[in-house]
Amino acid sequence: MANAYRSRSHGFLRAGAIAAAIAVGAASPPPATAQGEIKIGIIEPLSGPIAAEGRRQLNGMEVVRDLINERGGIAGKRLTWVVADAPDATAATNQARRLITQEGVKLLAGTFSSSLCLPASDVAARSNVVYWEVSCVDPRFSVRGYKNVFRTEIDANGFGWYQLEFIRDTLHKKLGKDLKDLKIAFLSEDSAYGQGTTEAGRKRAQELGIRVISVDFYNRNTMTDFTPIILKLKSSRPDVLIANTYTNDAILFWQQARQLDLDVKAVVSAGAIGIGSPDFGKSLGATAEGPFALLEPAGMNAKALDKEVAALEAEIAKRYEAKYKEQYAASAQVGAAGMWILAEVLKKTGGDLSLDKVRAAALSLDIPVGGTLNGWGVKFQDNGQNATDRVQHYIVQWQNGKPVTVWPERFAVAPMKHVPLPKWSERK
Amino acid sequence: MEALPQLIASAIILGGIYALVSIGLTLVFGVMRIVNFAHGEFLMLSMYLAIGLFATAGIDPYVGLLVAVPASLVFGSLIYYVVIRPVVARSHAVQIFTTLGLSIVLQNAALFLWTGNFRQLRLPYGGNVITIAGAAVTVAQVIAFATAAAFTAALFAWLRFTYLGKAMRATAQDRNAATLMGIDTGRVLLVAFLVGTLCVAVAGMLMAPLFATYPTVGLQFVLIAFVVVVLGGLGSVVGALLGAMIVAFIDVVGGFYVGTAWKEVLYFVVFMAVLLARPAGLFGQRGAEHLGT
Amino acid sequence: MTIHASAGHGTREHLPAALLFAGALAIPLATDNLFLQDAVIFMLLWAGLAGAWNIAGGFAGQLSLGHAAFFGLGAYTSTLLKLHYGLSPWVGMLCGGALVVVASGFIAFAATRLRGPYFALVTIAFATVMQIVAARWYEFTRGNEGLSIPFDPTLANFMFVDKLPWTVIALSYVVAIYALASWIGRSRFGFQLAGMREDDNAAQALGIDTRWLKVVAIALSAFLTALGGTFYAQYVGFVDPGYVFSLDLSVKFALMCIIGGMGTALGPVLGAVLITALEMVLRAKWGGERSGLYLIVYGVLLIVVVRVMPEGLVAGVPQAWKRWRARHAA
Repeated sequence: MANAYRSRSHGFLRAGAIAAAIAVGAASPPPATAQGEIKIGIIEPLSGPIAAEGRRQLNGMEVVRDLINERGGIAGKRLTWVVADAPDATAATNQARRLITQEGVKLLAGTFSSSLCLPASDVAARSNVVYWEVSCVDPRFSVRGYKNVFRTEIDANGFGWYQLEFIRDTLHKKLGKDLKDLKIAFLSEDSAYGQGTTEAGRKRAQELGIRVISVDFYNRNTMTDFTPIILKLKSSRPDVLIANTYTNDAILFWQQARQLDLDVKAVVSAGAIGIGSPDFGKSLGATAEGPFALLEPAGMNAKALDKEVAALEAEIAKRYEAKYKEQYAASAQVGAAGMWILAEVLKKTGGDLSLDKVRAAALSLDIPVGGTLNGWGVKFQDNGQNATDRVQHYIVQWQNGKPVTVWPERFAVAPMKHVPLPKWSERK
Repeated sequence: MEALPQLIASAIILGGIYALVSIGLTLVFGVMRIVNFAHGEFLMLSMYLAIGLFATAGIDPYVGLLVAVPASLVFGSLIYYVVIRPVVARSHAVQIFTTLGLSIVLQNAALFLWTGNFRQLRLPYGGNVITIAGAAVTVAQVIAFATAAAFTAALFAWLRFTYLGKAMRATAQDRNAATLMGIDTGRVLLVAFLVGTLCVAVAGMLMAPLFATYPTVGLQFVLIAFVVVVLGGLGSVVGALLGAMIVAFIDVVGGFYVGTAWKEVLYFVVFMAVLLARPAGLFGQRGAEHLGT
Repeated sequence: MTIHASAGHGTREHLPAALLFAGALAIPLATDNLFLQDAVIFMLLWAGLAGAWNIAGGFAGQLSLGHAAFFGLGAYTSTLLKLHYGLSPWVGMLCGGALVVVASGFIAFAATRLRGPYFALVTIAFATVMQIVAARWYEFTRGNEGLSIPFDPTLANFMFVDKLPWTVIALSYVVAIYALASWIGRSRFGFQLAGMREDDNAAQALGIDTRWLKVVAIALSAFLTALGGTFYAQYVGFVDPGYVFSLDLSVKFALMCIIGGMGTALGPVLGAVLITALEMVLRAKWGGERSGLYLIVYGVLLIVVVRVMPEGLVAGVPQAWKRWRARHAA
């Protein structure tokens, strides 16, 4: 017995030793950064249900990085990065710490989703590391009093604002209705993105005196049939349907809208996913015709852009499409612009990543609308948020299987079509 | 009220699809006593197969069934011998974590191989609408439902009238007794697993024109299938059919009246209530003897 | 699944655990490597949660895959009480614990009626319902946007700048659960649980009130899980229904316990250390490359480990060690 017991105890010690060895192996000291390199950390969801767009975003950043390096880098140094996969909040916290401590990076960028950007930037704040967000839209990101956070993209309030602005500025006129006579309905998936955008849009509609006749939330992971929502919409007859969907559900919704002959005058969505995703057009082909998505531009009137920027934009799109064999769109564009703006800031600091230098340089950046990628401008506010009116957003419409910029007019490459949307029976 | 015919039609079609996914799960459980958490991933793989056949060779998924059926048998045998058979006699915990591990592997293999992008198989004629009694349904939906119904009926007859089907039912009732009666239960377990795989393979081909395909699509349907099979009684084909219809009606009709935001709560509550009132499910009260009847 | 722990009463029985705990405490003192400190804190937290699951899943044999419900309720209760009413999370933690004991009544009721996979599926459904409620009750919980807890480090706020207090709290949590499990292993309560686990009907025939045993074991397990939920919320500073109520998390608690060894005090600790280390290493090594690669490896390892060591490391490692010695002695 004693003998058996001792051997068991040895076994545990061995197991403990192995576990400790693994842990220590994972925690070896940060590798020295090569001379002439600026190394940053990237956190994106590369596995799990939002992996598709996380990967696209990373791809967009990668094209910009390679372009910058080919053109001599930043202050003569190459931009390099370490990528971490973070499918959930725990992983985001953990990976942020790993990048900071193990990889020794002084700046983090990412992350697509609000359940990732909030915890990851918390970690960065506590380590005094710059946190450069290119896409998460959670409004809380920039109101926590942190000095280390920056966001190049607008937040959900901005999305809601732009969606309603499009309706206020032009759509209601095209529909021949006064704002007060207009009826809109919301259809929204219930993740942070859909919920945040929808709640913001709803509030803005109220301010504008537009009547919201219904708001339907659903879980995109269990939504297998849109019949109930579509039938309700058929009887409540909104003029404009604001559809803040994700991608699998957007595809299903559109197919079923056709099947059940849902007749609304316009459909407007928001963001890089759902109707705004390239997967939407690819999946539905000619039937995708007509809906609007609030997005980064899909083609832009070159006159509205700085010449250099227009050339740059074209170059990046060309490289992206050659490298990844798909359209340079939404998620990739947000990533690319965010990375480009970061590079502009780092050029000012001479490649220095310390918080004070980066913050001073970022706040001093003042680029008008049309002055950088996506036709964006840059003016960081004190809380690190890029000003909503600088981060120009566009309404893109699916026309002939391609997304096309149709609003605001000075950036548009084609006129709006299909307003109001034709009945399904009258479509090809 | 004018919405009712459409709601019913949509619910019945959805129920047919849920049933096909669930029957495979319930058979595997009934005969093998293993809850296969990778069932949804088998479905996902079949949907990718449909997409692949259509995109590369232009093969219609309904013709693609001729490929999917043998492919599923080969794949099912492989998984059975490599992963499942070694844990057949083990504890529930080991079985559950083996199939969960399998599910993680398959899901991420799909992500690795085909990226997380969403794909939709678009049949030229699939979206054409047929109106029946005031309800609009698409050609793809009708084919899916009709095939699912025919397949289920055939399976049902097979379980009822063939030797192997009877052997399966006997094994489900009492594996030891069946062995003593001279049934090769090892073989029966394999057959049950293959039939389960076959069901989802067929379901996947039928569903690819209806739903977007992506690496985690299986999760979307397998959670529903769990609700269905437990409602109906694990191991009962009739129970799975009925359970599928109940869940589909809650999804569609319930979604219409209480709102889509709360419909899942509705069916999970029904699920828990049924289970606590009748622990063996609606059709499972006399154990697995009801398999196939 | 026999109760090994009852065999050796000496202190040596606790030597492996004591060494692990001492190591955990030494790390924040010995290094200022934040990642390593962080890894230790998460290992301790998961070890505690796996240990909490072990009381229901291991000792009582109630294979729950819904413990995320208790974890999430704990995390949300303290967080909501703090954000809406300014209540200290320490108090919120106890409120969460109390709430969860009530909620666990449902699971316990299910446990008295259902067995094996049926029970597991009901627990999944239960956690899913909790998840949906948290996601839908927007005005109160902010739905799927989740709740962010402002970083305001004071003792009363249950937040600290330094890793040492976090480590000490997490370690106390684990040690308490370890001690509890060791006690259960040799108590009358534990023997009754073991009897029930091996044969419910036989235990009843011997006059053991198995229904009451299930209620107590599940309530205890749920209570301890809720405490871990509050710790998680405070430490990460962010809770959202999609994670804290997820099936992934429920599976994780059970998995670590099964890998380590169900129904033992040491098992959950070993399982948590190993699984957490494995996840971290795999993710760090391959996470940024082709999506999904490290999870494929993880899944394969999972399948292999549960097959090779179905009783977990606590039983499996000594066996393997013995075989190895036998081979090398010969």
